Amino acid sequence: MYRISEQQIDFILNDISARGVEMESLQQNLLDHICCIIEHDLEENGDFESFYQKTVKTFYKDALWEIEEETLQLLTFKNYYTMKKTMIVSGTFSAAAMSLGIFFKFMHWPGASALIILGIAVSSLIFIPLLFTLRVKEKQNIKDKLILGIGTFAGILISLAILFKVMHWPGANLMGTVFVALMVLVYIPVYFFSGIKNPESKINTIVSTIIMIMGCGLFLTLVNSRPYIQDNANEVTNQDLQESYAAMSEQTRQLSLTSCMAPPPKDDKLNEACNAACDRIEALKISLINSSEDIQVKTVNYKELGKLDNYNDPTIVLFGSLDDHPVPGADLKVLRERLQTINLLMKEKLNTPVSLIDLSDKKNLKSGVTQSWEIHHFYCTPLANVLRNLTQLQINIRFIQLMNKRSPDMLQTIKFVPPVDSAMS
Amino acid sequence: MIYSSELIKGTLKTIVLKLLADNKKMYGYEITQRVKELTFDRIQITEGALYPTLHALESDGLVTTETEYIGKRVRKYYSLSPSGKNKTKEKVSELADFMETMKFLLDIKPKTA
Repeated sequence: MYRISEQQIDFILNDISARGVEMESLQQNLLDHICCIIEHDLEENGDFESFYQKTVKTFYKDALWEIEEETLQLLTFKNYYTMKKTMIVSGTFSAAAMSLGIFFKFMHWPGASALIILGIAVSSLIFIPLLFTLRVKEKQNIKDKLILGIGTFAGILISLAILFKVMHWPGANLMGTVFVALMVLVYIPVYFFSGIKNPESKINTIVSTIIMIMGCGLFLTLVNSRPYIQDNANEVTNQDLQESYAAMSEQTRQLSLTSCMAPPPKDDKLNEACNAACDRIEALKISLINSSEDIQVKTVNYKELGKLDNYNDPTIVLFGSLDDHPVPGADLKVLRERLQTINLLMKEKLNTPVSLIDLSDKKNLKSGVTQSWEIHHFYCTPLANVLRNLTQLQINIRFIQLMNKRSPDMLQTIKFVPPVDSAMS
Repeated sequence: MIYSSELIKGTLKTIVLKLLADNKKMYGYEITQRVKELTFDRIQITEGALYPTLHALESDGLVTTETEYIGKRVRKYYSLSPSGKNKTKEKVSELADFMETMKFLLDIKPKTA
């Protein structure tokens, strides 16, 4: 029986840690084990060094740290089943919540947004990361792990981009663009060239690559092009309307200046009411733009505006909150009063019961519910359409003012362009 | 003959648990030697399989450890925890059942083929 010296014990311990075993308890186990073998099997005057090297080689296939790796694998494997279960449950839950949310959205039932947010949040923050953690263990080389990592990141990005898009939160387009760039520039090339080398997965790789490119293309169209065209169209329409309103305002101003005869007192009242209403609306437009677009403008200029991709702010400014039972705010109340004054004056003048500016309740085309004039035209309506409706109103007022001077009788036969229905936007 | 490591891998936990149930407390080297002895060298547990398994059993709470200093080195003794004792019975009867099934399966297969 061989007697191991303290120096030899230190030597073995250093060698074990030099071979990559870092866990202290494992080091101690292996040290004791090797010492036992040496003490039992080596003769009293045998060669310690060569016997040790021979013994330690029997512990592993390629390297001693395999034992530590195997230990860690077993220790983490313990959570494997809980993780798998959580993954399946969260996946099922998010799929169900999303489908239900979309169905609710179609039916205009309450709770749709909450379900969609919940579904996408669970899938992108729990399901996809878990899927990644479980899958990455199965992959052997670093390249495969990297591909999986990028894919996971892209997956989370696209879910969040869609969530932000649906909720009209800022940053959706940026996330969508980063997703497409990541897919097209990094993921698809790496995936394609690593998969095509393997004859078994060649066909599969080609098909998946084509599908992914198609998907990215469709996504890009959906995220970027459509709103751009829409916003652009709104901007052009708004700009046109604004210009014609400016032209009409100038015309009325000129007309009242050049008319040599003093206008009858009633007309004076009408002019005042019209000018007041138009100025009021112009001020409202500027305050809407400033609070929605986070800029400070003094005159309405559509070329300075952003994408007008702004849905909730006008409602908050005009109604105070995004409540399900909105009550028109002070601005809208004053506006209605001004418009009613004009209507009243014109009724007297033309001697008719018909209101020139229609302020009656309307039926929502989508839900069929009867709504007040304010809710119908301004509630939950994008900024672009709110501005458009306001400008249209101004134009109608100016038109009344102009026609009143020229041929008031014609006003009774004219049909005004109505503002856009909020349900249509 | 020496059994293949694949066969041993699936039963190693059960072997270790059963040995600890019979011997109160043991350390790693002792376990490998005892298995060798009991099976007349036919089953040789490798260090690369034994220590990961012992660590896993410890983190599952099936075994407890106590350390003893032998000169400059530390020896870790393993013994069953109460839940380990229950688990041992479960594991042993599961393996016995499995062996019956395998006997049945492997005997019956050539006849039906």
